[in-house]
This record gives sequence, structure tokens and C-alpha cells, in this order.
Amino acid sequence: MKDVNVPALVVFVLFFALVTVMGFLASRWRRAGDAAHLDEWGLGGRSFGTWVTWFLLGGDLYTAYTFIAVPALVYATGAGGFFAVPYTIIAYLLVFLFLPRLWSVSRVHGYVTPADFVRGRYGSRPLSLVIALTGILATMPYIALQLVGIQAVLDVLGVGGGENANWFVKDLPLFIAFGVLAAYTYSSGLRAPALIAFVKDALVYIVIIVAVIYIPIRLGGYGHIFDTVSEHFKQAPKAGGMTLTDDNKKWTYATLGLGSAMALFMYPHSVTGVLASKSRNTVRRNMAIMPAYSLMLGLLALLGFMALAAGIGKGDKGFNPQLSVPQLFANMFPDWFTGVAFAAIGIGALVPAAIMSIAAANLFTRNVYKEWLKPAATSADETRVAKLVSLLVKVGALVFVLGMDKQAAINLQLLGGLWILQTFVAIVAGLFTRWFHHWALFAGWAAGMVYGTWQAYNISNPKTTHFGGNAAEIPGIGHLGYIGLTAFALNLVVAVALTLVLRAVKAPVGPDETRPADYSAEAGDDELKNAPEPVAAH
Amino acid sequence: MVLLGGLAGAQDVLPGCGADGEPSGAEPKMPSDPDPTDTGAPGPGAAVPAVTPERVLAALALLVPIVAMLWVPSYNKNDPALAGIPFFYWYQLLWVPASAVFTVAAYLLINRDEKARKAARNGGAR
Repeated sequence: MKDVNVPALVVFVLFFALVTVMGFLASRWRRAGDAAHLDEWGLGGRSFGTWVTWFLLGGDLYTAYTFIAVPALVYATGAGGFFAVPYTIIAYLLVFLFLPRLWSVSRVHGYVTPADFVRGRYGSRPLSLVIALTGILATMPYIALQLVGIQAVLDVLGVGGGENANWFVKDLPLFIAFGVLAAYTYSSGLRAPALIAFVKDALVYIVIIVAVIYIPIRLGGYGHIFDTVSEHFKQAPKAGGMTLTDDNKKWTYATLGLGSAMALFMYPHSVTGVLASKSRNTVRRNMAIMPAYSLMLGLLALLGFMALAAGIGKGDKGFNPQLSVPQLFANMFPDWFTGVAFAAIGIGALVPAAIMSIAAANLFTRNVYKEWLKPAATSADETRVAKLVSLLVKVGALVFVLGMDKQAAINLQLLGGLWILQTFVAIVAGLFTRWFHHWALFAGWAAGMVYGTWQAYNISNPKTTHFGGNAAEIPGIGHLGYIGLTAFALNLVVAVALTLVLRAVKAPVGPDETRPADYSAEAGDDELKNAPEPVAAH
Repeated sequence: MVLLGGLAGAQDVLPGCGADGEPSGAEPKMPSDPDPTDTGAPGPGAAVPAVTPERVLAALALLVPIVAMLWVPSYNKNDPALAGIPFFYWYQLLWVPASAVFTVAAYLLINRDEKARKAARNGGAR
């Protein structure tokens, strides 16, 4: 391999040390009364205002893997990789409609997870369980991918160890990073990533702004970059192009954008970020200011083109596109600023990994442990179990990354998006109507999961024979589209059809503990007077 | 577009919602509405109706950028380029701040709507 880039490594380690200290100190930040309550550890006391929530959600949704994968996709396929932009635009517009309702009903009834809501709304334990398990299943590979992001950076820094270094030396930096992460998540809960998110987002903004100004200057301007890239895709039309060249690509682009947008806020870690905010309007305001991150993501995607124009990986057949952006930074920036950029990516992995493990821990604790294993669990029990599970989840992710092929993690993450989208009908429809029958929702979920997984299994690409992509022919339309969205459509059709049948035969319905007014309750309203009040009741 | 119907407060209009009865005390339907504000509540004495101009406009504001983004053929081209950046890229990037403007509009509209609802409710309760 190459030599270690010492100045970059020093800067990288300094930033890492800084956020570690912050992570441990975070347990004292905005500390509230009852530290033993799960709302404290798992939702930061439901106390975050507009700006903290903005940083937290930004730190949460735009992960290190996003920074690596989006430009990598643009680098490899051109226009098709740009779907991330419509995706994030659509996401905030969509969720503006239903997240405020989820916040309100969760606040009134003390729900910590989306599965809690499903339990309360439909009174169905099995439905709530599968929603929780889907969330955990979709989150695990996502955490593993954060490690892949850190690995990419460490590789380019030259501390990944050579091919002949033994596995322990090779992965030691990864062990250290995750050991530290696990320790402060355990002790500080959601407050740690919330505080570190300030550093992460600030670094990311600085790096992106510098990159989109400085790198084009060195490469001869945007016009030159796009000319070079355009020439590249003319030589290799199979890889992609500057625009979407056929109808299949257009359909895939639109369905991926829409499907991913719908899936984004079904992820448990996104919901955790939302429920941690202190008021309904905080949630709404954030949907209006989140696009600042989308703009950054769009600019980031262009870095894929800059890497192409700079000749990164040119002539190297086995070059991994995932390394294109880290390598671009290393080639273009002075060493110390490469360190800053890599710190941004590295810390960009820690924040979401912490929130994801907290979200998965909340799901397990509330919807598996308390619901099925120990109904008599006190709040203190819940918090203790959640802390332990957050550790287990991270160890699981680490084992996953070390023991399995990286391709497997990427495939599973693709599947994760598809799976989590199948919880959409139960959760979002439930926020507006109780019309659906819980058995029908269960059947719809099962149909979507099976169909989507089976379709994905059948997709091959040059690298793998199964799970090689996320687009397949849409039955009835005939073009290629995102499997997740097709599976969602099937899920919806099954749920509607079965609900009609079940209502016709007057199948029994579970109790609904929510009332219409719960869905529009705002902080300070009457509905919240009797709400569980674990929050720092100042 | 299942969701957009939802914005119009499906919960308030679907009678089947509270299937198990339980009249919620939180939405009192009292006749006196001292401050109908500008929602133009048509029903005599009813609280603010589920579909108000504010809610419809907000739904439209949210719908416009979604349609623009899903209408891929409208921007799938290289020209006109802007400062060397093909249309495909700068057009979509431009929609990012544009979508934020539309969301702010929806936010203001919904805020106004919720204030009117709250006023109507409190007016009825007291």
C-alpha cells in the first residue's frame, strides 16, 4: 500500500479526540430530572429545539456512507446517481404532511418508537412486533455501512494496513473508533450524537464549500470538468451518461427518488430524531430548513464528476468507486485539509451510527423486551436494557463488517430500504385513518417483504449474481423501476383489498387508544396535560 | 398521492375513525364561534371545516416540487447549460432552494389554519 499521510492523520486524530470528549460530556448537557427514564437516554428528554433538531437530523440522515456512496454512484454511472437530489427534495415535502401528526400522538401517549404507535393505534401486538423487527433488520446493515465509510477513509490515509498485515493490526483503528463510540453512546444516550452533530455538520459544510470552489479551480473550471466527463461517458456509453439515455433509466430515476423519499422517515433513526424535538412546530420548521442539507448533497454528488475529471482511478480496472472521493481529497487538498475532510467523513459515520444503535435499542426494548418478555419492566429496566442492546447492536455491526464481504453490507442496505418502505402503509395510513384492518396491514407487509426480497434476489450484476441492484420491471408498466416502490404498491393493494373483505365479514378489530385530537396536539395544549411527563418539567 | 388527501384532515372527516365510540371531549362542537377569522367557515356554528383554503393551498405548495421532480423528461437534457453545468444538474439543484420556499409557504398557511382551529375550539369550550 502507500505511506501514511502523517499531517492528515494528526488532524484526523485531533478531531476524533475532540468529539470523544464532547461525547462523554454530553451526558451533562441539558440534563433533566429522571436519568433512569428511557425518554432521557433514548430521546434526549424530548427537549430539542429547532436548531438542535436541525443539526441532529442533518447529522443523522446524511451519513458517512452517503458522502462516499452518492458521489461514487455519480462517478460510476453519471446522471443516474443524481437521483439523490430529487429524493431528498421529495422527502421533506412528503413528511411535512405526516410527521407532525406522529410527533403529536407520540407525545400524548409517550410513544418512543413507530412500533409503539402501531401498537396503540391498532391494538395489535403481532403487527407492532413485525414493524419493530423490520426496523431493526433495516438498521443493522446501515450501521455496518458507516464502518465501511470509516474504512474507506482509513485506507486512503494509509493506516488500513498492508495486505500482509494481520487482521488485528489492520482493523485496530476501526476497533478503537467503535469502542469509543459505544462507550459514550452508552453513557450519554442521544445527547452525545446531538452534541457531536454540531461539529460534524460544521466540518461537512466547510469541506464541501471549499471542495466545490477550490477543486474546480485546480481542474480548470466547471465547464472543463463537464466536458471531460462528457467525453468519458461517450467512450463508455454502457456505464452511463450525462443525461438519462432511455425510458428505463428515467423510470428508475423517478421511482428511486420517490421510493427512497418515502422510506427515509420510516427508518427508526429518523423517527428518533423527530420525536426528540420539543414541539410540533419544531418538526414543521425543520422540514423547511432541511433542504440546506440537500443542496450540500447535490454539490457533493458533483464531486463524483470532479474525481472523474481529475483522472482518479483511471486505467485501474479494479478501482473501487467508493474510494473516488477520499482519493480526490487526498490528491487535491493540502495534507492538513485532507485531515479535516476525512475527519468530516469519519465523524459523519459516528453520529448516525450512534443514533441508529439508539433507535434499534429503543425498538428492541419497547416492542420486544417490554411487550413480549417482561411486561412488568420499569422505566429503569427499560433504560438499562436499551443501553446494553445499543452495545450489542454495534458489536453485531462490527462483526458483520469484519466477517462478511463489503458487497454483502451494500446489498443488505439496499434491501433495508426496500424492507423499511413496507412499514409505510401501517404507520402513515394509521396517522390519518383507522380504516385499515390490522390483519390486512400485516398481510400487505408480508406480501411487500416477500415480493421485494424475491425480486431483488433475482437481480444480478457483473459483481454478484444476486441482490445486484434495486430496479426490476414494473408489472403492468413494463419499464424498470425501483423494486421497493413496486413492493409498496403491492403492499397497499393487498391491505386495501383484505380490509374490504375483513370489514365485510365484520372481523374483530383491536382497541384504539388514540383520539382524533391527539394527532394535532401541540406542546402546551390540554391534550398534553395528562401525557406522560418524563421531560424536564421546568 | 394517498397522502395528500390526508392533509385535508382525513381524521376530522372520517366518521368511522372513532369506531369504538368514545366521544372525545377535545373537539367540542359548540355553536358560538367568536372568531371565525378568515377561514370562511360555512357551516353555521360548526368548528373550522376539514377542508379550508389554507389546507388546500398548502397541499398544492407541497405538490408542485414533487411533480416537478418526478417529471423527469422535463429536465433530462444538457442545454441550456449554466456556467458550463448541463441543464440536468443545475435545474435540479435550483429546485432545492425552491422546494424550501414552497415548504415555508405551506408552513405559514398551516400555522394560520391551526391558529384558527385553536381559536374556534377554545371559543367553543368556554
